[in-house]
Amino acid sequence: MNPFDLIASDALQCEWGTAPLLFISENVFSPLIYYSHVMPALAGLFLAFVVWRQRERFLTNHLFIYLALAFSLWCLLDLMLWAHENPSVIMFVWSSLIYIEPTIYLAAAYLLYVFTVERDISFKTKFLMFLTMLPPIVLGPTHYNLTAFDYTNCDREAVEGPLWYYLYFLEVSITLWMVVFGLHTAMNKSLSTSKRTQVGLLTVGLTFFFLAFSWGNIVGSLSADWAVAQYGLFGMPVFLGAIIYLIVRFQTFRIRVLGVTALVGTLWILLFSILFLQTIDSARPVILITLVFFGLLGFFLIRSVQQEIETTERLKILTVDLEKANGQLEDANTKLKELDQMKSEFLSIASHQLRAPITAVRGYAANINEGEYGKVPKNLKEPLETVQEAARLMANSIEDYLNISRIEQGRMKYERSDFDFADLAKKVVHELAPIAEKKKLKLLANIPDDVMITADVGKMKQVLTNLIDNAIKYTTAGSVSVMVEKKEGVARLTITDTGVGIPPEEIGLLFEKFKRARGANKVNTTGTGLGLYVAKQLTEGNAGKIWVESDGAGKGSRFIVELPAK
Amino acid sequence: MATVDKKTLILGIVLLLFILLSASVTFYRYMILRDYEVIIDPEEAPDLNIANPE
Repeated sequence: MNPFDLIASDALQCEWGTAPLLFISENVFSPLIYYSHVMPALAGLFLAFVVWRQRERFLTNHLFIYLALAFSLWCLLDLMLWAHENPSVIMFVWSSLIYIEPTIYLAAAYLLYVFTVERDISFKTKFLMFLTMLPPIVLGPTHYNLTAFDYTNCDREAVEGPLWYYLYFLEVSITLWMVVFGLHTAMNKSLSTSKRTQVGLLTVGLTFFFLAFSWGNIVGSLSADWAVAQYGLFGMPVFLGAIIYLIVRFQTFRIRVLGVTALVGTLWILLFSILFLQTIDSARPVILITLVFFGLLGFFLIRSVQQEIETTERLKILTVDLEKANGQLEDANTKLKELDQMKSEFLSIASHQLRAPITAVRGYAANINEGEYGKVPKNLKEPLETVQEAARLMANSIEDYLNISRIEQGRMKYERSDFDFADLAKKVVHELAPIAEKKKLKLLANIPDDVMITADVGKMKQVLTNLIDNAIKYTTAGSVSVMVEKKEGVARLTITDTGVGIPPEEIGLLFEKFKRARGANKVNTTGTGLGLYVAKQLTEGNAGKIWVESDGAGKGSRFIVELPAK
Repeated sequence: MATVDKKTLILGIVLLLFILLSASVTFYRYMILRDYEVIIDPEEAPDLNIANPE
């Protein structure tokens, strides 16, 4: 009789079923086999899929994906051994396990090392790992792998050869290395507590998983009781638990949503696996409903966690960007302050050096014009007056520059004394009257006697000069009126002109440095935009207030100064 | 860290090819040639000599 006919006839006697779906047949005598294989295989595939979906290219992620996929494949192939009735298929599948099992162990050790030291292993180590794979590769197809097919007592088993002892030796060695390496790292006090905890957890997870796995295989091989080996596969949840905890607690593998996804997925798979238990027929509909609800709940849970984490991540990135920008701004600000300080110092030095000669020019021009050096010809009168006016304007500008540099350097000093503000206003009006007259403007003064205030008289004179001079400069026709009044403990100066006026949107900007009203250039080309800024600073330095009112462009303006009266 | 250097890539490909080659030989031996010993009864096994039925 042909030996395979013999097997076939014997198979009939053994009542072996066929396995059209490779994994499911009557030959699987206990639901426990499905539970111990399907659950870890699906969980492995699911975890590999989730990590792969993250598309984050870290070596630890790649190794984890390989580990999960190889383990799932191993579970499915092992299940085929239980389900299939064809000796050739069983021999081939059983012999193929010799290629997969060592790579699972090697990948796990590789993962633990890379996770711990945060860099890839050397090429020499990789080559060593390659060498450990040579015996299974070279001897895999020989009798050293599987020596025979044994179906004595309908057992349907392959007889393992000496190559499997090499494999078990390799597995035990790698597991021991992982325990020693992991514990050594976990106890290394030069590492952070967080890192030590992470490595410790990963080591415990991997070790439990492999001890259970090896124990099942080795005990199964040695005792030939393969049902006992199934309990080993329950080490998988321990491994998964450790990985999930690592991810949730420390965001290991740099995957943010994996933790909750894995948790929901694994629980779903666990529930799904219960369906295979034959003793729970009556509870099956309830589990199916639970599965649907749990699936929906899990979906929304994962989505909400994902959204929350994404928002947090975006916020983190924004905060980092903001801090960076803030730092850059602070640097720029410091540099600007330094530059501003340098500019003020330069301005101060330059102004001091300009003030002396311009005072001399102004003084001598006035003396010549007044005839102190002899009679002045009529045709020289006008040029001399122009020189005098230009020198006065220049002296005023220089005074403004000097005041600005003092204000900005914090060197402005106010020497307060009691004086008659009305008297000061009259003097300034008197000084500026010729300029108004030259422009054919009416300079009106409504100033009472005796309006005493306490302030720096020099600074207030500068304020009055700047404001009245400004009003004259920006008025082409009409009048400029100066009014001083005292009421309710306040000395109030109002300078009203019929000049260019100020558009409402520019009123707030007028007292800023270098700001001039739109169109001001058309009326007066000599303005610097500093006079009003200086006036404001000096007024406020004397505990006063200054503001401007205008009905709009072309409708004139009113500058008002209030100071505490005595 | 995830970029694979050339030497590692070659080593990985060689390993994969070796495994596939070895697995192919195994497949050919068991699935096509059916070259394996079958033990029906441990005591009778040595006399059966049913390997390679072709």
